[in-house]
Amino acid sequence: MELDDLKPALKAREARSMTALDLKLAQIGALEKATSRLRPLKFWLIVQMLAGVVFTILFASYWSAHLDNVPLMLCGIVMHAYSVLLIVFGGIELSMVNRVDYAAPVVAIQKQLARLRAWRIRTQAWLGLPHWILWVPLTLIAFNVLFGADIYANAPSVVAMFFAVGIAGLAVTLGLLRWAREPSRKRIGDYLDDSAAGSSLRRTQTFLDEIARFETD
Amino acid sequence: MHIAADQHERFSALLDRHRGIVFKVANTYCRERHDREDLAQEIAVQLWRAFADYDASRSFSTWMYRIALNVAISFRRSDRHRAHAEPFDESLHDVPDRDASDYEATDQARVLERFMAALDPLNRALLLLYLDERSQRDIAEILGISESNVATKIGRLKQRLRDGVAAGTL
Repeated sequence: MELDDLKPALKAREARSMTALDLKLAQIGALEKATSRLRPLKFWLIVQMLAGVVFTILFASYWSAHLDNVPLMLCGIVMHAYSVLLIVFGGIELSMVNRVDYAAPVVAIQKQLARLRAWRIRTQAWLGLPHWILWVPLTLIAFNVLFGADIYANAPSVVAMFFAVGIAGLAVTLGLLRWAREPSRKRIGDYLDDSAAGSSLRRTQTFLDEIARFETD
Repeated sequence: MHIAADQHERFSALLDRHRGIVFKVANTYCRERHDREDLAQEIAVQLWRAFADYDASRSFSTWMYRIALNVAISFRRSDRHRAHAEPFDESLHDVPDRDASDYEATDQARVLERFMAALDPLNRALLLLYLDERSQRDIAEILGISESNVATKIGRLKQRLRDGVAAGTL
């Protein structure tokens, strides 16, 4: 059997699917409705950036008002920096999303989409894992703003304990991810990978390699 | 309002004329009926979204193929559909009549499905375009690779098919 012998099979399959798929492809109303469902990604990126702007203003004004209290000032600066990251990462991702043009050649777009996916996976981890630590400065600021209390000045050991809990949580999370990826624990690893970055990133990288081979072979 | 209505009408007419492309691509990347319907719908949505920027001086089918293939490959790669098993859909892949000449057609249909399933998404796109009798220039334009690369890859697909049939794996 030669490749050209499969051409009739493709035609026959298409003819059967015409009747098998009851599609209303050209119903514009339905298409517009579906199109609006595709917008949440951009919407949430814009929300992330707007939240970043608001937090940046709030935390900048906070730390600049606490120049005399170094621990609280540092807490404000850390949160300020994180807020800036929210804006920067959101902006980069939004510009990547906006550049995706499905009418462009397949190899170029698939490469672009794979890079976007790799970027998302990485930034989700970069923005997510620091939460184990960031809750501490946020708590200190919240207590100071809401109750006028300075936890660090009054009970530095409590702050040290907060940090210890955060660092332990971060270490356990990283350790768990590494532990689950051992080949002998493939099922647990696969389960965790559905919601974590590692395997998705590997798959994306494999696909990028496939694209590179396809381009150059 | 009038312009929008005109555009709807133009789009509907073009889509209707070239709807076979949507079906071919959906069948190539999804074997489960529900997925095929979802993918076909998603392709139509993306075609409609991109239609405002379509340059009428260029081939509609080439433009359509690019979008359909890009959507299909992304659709298959999304976590939502990646985990799905791909059961063999008898309604789509079997030839209903059973006289002698149809056995050959059935055989070809089975080989086509197995061969498609064994390929990565980009080679699958290449095979589809080749079997749909698109020119090498068209294929190169749709995929974004050189014509000589297209020729090389088609040669490899031919050899791979021969090897698979000879080894009884297809």
